[in-house]
Amino acid sequence: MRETRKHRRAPRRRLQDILIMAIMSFCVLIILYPFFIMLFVSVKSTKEALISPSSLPTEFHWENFVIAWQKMNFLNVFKNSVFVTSLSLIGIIILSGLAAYIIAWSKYTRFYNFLYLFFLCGIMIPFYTSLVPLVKLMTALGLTNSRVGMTLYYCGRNMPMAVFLYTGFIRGIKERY
Amino acid sequence: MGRMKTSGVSMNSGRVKVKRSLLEFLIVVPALVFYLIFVIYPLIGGIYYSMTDWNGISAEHHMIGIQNYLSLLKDSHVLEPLKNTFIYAFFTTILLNVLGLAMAIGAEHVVRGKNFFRSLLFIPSVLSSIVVGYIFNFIFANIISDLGKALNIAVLANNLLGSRQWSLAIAILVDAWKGAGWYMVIYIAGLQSIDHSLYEVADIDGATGWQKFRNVTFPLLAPAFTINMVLAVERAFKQYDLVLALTGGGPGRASELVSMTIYNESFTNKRAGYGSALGVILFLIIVVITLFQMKVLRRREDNARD
Repeated sequence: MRETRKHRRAPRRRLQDILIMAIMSFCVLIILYPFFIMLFVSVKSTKEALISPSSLPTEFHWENFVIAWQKMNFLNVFKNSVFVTSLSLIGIIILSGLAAYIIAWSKYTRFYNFLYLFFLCGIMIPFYTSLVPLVKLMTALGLTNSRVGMTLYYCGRNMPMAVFLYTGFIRGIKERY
Repeated sequence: MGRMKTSGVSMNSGRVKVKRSLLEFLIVVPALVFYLIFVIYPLIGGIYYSMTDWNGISAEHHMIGIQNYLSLLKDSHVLEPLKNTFIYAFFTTILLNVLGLAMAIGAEHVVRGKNFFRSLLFIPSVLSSIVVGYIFNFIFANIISDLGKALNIAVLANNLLGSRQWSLAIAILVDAWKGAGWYMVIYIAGLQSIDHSLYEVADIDGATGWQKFRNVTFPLLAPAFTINMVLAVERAFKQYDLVLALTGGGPGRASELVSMTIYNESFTNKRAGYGSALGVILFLIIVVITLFQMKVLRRREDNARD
């Protein structure tokens, strides 16, 4: 499975390994650099943040976090996110998983292939094409300003991508049989 | 893998078949219903409104046929965002795939800490686009400008995002920063599916690293490559939040994408019918490009399999 490793790697391989490790570490630093900046700035005072954003913080203004928490009403907002995300996730996984299983396994291949392509079209729809009628629809269904409405919408919105990925995966398993 | 009939009596097999196939379909129905209500219906609505002169808030509207589409073709305000979006899609697709592949190969070949590198490199793609956009806005406005003053480079010293030539390029880079991890993961999955014995055979034949890549790795990555190419192009055409938070459309319309134009036309300019027409055109563009890509890349996949 994994490549067999000799116990003492030849010097040339070692150099290569070190080089790869160095490059990857460098990549990680670049990728995470904005995170570091974020961390540094978040504990600085406003003045210091604007004057010298990228330096290491000299004073640690931990109260910034408290202020942000309160201003944002973080608890409530977080609760909403968790609610919408978890419920829609459960819905998407169950429904699309079932649908994908049928699409991949059914004997009526022509019909379900058509259905698969139908779902595929959903991936290609940009959000803004359907934004306006969507708003009208949600208003008509009374789902605006509600977390439940958001959840239902996410279920619908992510269904095509989920079905696409699941079907590809199940078909891959089916082939290995 | 045959299917076992519930009743062994051949006389009833016809009815059983119908019942089974109906039951089968019933399982698909919930997913289908959600999809129809929240995706297909608004799309049809969008197509409908694209043929009206609705302004987004008034209760009435009139059918004006394809007039919206005709005016779109003549509208110069639409051409620049359209051009921007194509440029954006082209470069982000290339950048994301190259970066993703490079990171995947790197992450697979480090001696230790594979999971460590993989997770860290993946983190940016799970962030919300708006947050990323604002963070980089801050970085470019303050940090890079400080850097520019220190090194005395005028271009950097003024906010890079405020320059007409560079704002789109920066948006492309930021998108690459954010998205590369996602593509890396798909490429890793593809890399792991390549049989290691093929590499050993290549080693025996005395192939160098680059030759191994060109003749073994890259052809066998074809399925992952297809998926990534298609998804990258689609994502680029649908991009909105990131560029909005980053540049707000750039100075003038320098970094405005079509999705922003749609939003502006529909809501700010109160021409919802017009905006919908643009949205439909965007959808058609995406469909054509995707189908074209799938055809070309699928053929490559089949060739690679031999």
